[in-house]
Amino acid sequence: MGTKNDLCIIALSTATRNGSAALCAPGSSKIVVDHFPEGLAHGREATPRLQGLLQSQGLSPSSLDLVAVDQGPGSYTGIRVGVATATALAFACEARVVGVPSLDLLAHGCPVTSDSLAVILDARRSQVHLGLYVQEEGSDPRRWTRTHPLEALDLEEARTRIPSSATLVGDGVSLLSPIRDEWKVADPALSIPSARILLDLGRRLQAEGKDQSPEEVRPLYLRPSEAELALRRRTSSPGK
Amino acid sequence: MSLVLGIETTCDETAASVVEDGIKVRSNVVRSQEDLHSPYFGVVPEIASRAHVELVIPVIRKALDDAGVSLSDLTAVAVANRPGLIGAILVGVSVAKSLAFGRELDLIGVNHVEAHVNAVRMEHEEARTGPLVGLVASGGHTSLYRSDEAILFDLLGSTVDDAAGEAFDKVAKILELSYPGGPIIDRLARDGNPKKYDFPRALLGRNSLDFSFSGLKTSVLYACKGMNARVSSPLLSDLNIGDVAASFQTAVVDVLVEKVSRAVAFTGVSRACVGGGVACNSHLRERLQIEGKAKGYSVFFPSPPLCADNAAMIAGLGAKLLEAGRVDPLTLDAFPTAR
Repeated sequence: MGTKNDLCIIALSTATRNGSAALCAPGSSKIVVDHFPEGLAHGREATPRLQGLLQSQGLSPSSLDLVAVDQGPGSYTGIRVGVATATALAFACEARVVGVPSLDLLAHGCPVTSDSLAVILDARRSQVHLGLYVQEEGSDPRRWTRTHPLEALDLEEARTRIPSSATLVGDGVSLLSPIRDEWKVADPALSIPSARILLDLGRRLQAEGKDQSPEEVRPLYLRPSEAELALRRRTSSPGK
Repeated sequence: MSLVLGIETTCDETAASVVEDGIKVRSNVVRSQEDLHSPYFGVVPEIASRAHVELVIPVIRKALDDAGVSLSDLTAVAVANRPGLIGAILVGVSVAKSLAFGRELDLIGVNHVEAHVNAVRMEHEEARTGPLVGLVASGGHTSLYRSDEAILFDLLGSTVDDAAGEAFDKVAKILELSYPGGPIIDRLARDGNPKKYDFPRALLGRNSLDFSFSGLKTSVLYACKGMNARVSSPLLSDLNIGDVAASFQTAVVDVLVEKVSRAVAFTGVSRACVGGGVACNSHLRERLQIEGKAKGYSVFFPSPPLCADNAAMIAGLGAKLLEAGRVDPLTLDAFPTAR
């Protein structure tokens, strides 16, 4: 995470109440982070916070090469504010964007101390968002690689999907109680998305050619809206 | 010369526009979400917000291209930051703030409803300066204003329940028509008998400038489906939908025309204008012109592209606010009400 960087990268995570932003100036290995006060109104404050970060390093927005953003899933409003803010900033500055799913972001921040990792986020309505990861073969330093598409699952279904001896992380872990003896629960501090880690992962994804234009990056909900679900139920019920 | 980019995401239209000097519309791009909301017979806030975040950058890019300008040519970004669906507005406000920050442009928050009145000033030279009575009637708003100048607005009255356009949508649902209800009811009413049903006209007292349409909607429901029926109940077998549409539309227009005339009499202002999607209604346009002529006031309507929700009116009013030095900081927020 101390890699020297030729790009000016800014990262923004607003998918939860614990928002944060991070900046790495070109030619620097230092990542400057701004942890927003919990519950901050992201819609009002996200842009001024990004402005503050750039000003603190004597940089202007035109210096930006890459904007990394937490795509969710999470608070619907929070992820829209994040994606709208990040993509419009990239559009204005002719920068590229990297969208990172929240679950991949938490996985990237988790030390590789077991064979597998399950990232579990509270999806409300008795569901969780689940991401499953294993150690990436040959990676040095060791890192996680995702094995399945991200999904929103009922609690029981999620329990059956998680491998034995997995490490569990995320704010949805407690929803799967009782926790099986063979599972290991990670430090709860690792369940909070961090813009520092987002920036680091964004840089790696950009190096792998996974950066995108602003129009291509969208929020990740993993579930239709309640209205769409209700309409599907009505139209598929008998007699309709 | 000022070149202002306007952004509109308060409801179910994703729109962007470039306006020169507050008047000349260089581009006006509107991406309607009607197709997404029609299965629900109304706007679903979450669906609207999801669509805005996907559409807004492409719509802005097209507005810039159509105007033949780039971001570096702009003077300011104006965004509708109130009133409307809060999640939808937040998308436009977040985008506007990033563009303003990223390009060091002035940022201006605009009241969407007031911008509808300003649309008339943009298009009609005779209405550009001096006082106006402005009726804004749409799916989300029904309000009456006195506007002495482009950026001065006094709210005279507003709906206490449903908006006029919302009543059209709900009656269309009762009649098992399509969404949005305004255009189809306007069309069906042409062949109907407007006197077949004596639907109520809620005037709320002799001096009131407020509106109410929920009782009218319920009255239409009972006329079409029987007393105490529900919206899901079947239509009466001998119902003539054209007669219902004509009688309902006449009731709405009677109320709107009466309130505009009252506002003209109350303020002593001799010019009135109508904005919002309901201003496209052909019967309202005819009736208000006749009423204005009879009572000695002139009436202005925007052209159809500036009637319904659009971003040209946001950029236009934004330019006027900019001229007056009313620029907002990057902490600009979104509000569901007019405040």
